[in-house]
Amino acid sequence: MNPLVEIKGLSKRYDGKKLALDNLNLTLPRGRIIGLLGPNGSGKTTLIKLMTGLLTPTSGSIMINGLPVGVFTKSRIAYLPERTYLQSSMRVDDMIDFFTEFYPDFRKERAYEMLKDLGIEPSAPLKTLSKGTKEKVQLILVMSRDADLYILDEPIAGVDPAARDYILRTIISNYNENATILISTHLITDIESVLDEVVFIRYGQLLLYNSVDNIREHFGKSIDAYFREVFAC
Amino acid sequence: MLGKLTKFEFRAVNKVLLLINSFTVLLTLIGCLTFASPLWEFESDYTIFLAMSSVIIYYVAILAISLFTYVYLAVRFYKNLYTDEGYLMHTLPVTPRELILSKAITAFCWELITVLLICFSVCAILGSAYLKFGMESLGDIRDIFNELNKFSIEVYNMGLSPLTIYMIVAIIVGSFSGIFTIYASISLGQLFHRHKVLGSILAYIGFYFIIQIITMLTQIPYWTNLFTSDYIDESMGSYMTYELSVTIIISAITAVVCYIITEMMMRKKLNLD
Repeated sequence: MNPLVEIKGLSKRYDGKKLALDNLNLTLPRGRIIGLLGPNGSGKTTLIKLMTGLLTPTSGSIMINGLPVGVFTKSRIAYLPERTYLQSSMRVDDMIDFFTEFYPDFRKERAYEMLKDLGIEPSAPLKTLSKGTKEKVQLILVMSRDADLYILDEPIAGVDPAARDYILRTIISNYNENATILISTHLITDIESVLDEVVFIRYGQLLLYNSVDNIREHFGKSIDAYFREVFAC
Repeated sequence: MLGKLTKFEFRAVNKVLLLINSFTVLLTLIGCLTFASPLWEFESDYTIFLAMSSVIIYYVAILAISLFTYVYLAVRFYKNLYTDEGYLMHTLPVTPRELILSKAITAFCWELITVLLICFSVCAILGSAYLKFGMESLGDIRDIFNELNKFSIEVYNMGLSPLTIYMIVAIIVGSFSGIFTIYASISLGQLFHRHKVLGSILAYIGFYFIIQIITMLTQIPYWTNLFTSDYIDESMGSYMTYELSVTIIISAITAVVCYIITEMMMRKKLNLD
């Protein structure tokens, strides 16, 4: 079986500027929850956008399920961007219909159940919802899919701590053993307990890719403490 | 997936465009009722003033409605594909081609509805005027068509029916060329990092000038031929037919080129903020 994600010699240069990603090589297995960590501007979001097909690489390649980024890989990735992508003219249940139409792996019942748990009215027009609630709706949409790869870019930054706990529990309980979740975040302490592995990137290059247990054992520190040490200013 | 995208595209724009186009229907009703009213039987300076200003208001309102439809559809394309909403649209399991075509089909249908409604409106208002005054002053309606046919042969070198077909083709091709020119301009505008909307407008102006220059260049062979040959065609017919054909061909080429630019930009240069 192919590795879930295979990245080789990946570089991205935005017009005339310095490299946002510099010859990155990375292979991600199935069945893990992986933290994508790095300071601001280290290339986390660029890497995610390249994996989801929102950017095209300057050089190098990305294979997901053994295939280059395209329609098929998009159908197997559940992506939560930092931005709110909901159309304000739609209602929550319109978005659920939208996802049901485009993603055969979308589980409608699961979405309605999570909406109920978080007290979100399915008939609510999206323009009446707060920013935090919209983020919750997006996360529900993404986590209601049975995808191979979940890519969550700053999934918990805008929501309150109670919802944060619910969301983390949802992430752990929803995914199956063949799927991998890649979470990019600054809030390491909050998610440290759910991570199996971490990827550290800096200046667009891979600094470290290891399991959480190894890091704890080897350095005798939590991931958060280790992160602060490595990226100390 | 094209069908699904088109379905959701219609769903997203229908409400606003139905509302704006219902104004055309409303204006038509008001126009017809005005002609039917006994207002016109009092002959005075005011009546002429009233008639003139109603025509002007009607014209401006119709212009505003069609302009709104074009601008609304352009903004929809920009907002849905090149702002935050683009994060959803460009990560759906669909190709850029399907994204562009679903929007173009929806835009074309709505532009067609807008144009047809305006035609219907003008015909209805003229019709009601004809019913009111026309019987005596304009004569039989068949005479009007005969006159139009004569005019068509004189100016375009062809009867009313082939001219109508020509015009329909010109409207369809022209509509797609207009839509894709806007899409290409918006897509090229994304190359400007800070001022994407300004970039799009500049790109549109650029396209406009290029098309104008090409149209002018295509007229050169005709005029050269006219001045150098001994035989002078006295009717305007051949020139107008030539012009109409050239316009259709240029519109078709513009549509194809602008479509290719839009797709290339989306495939290779997509860079959402």
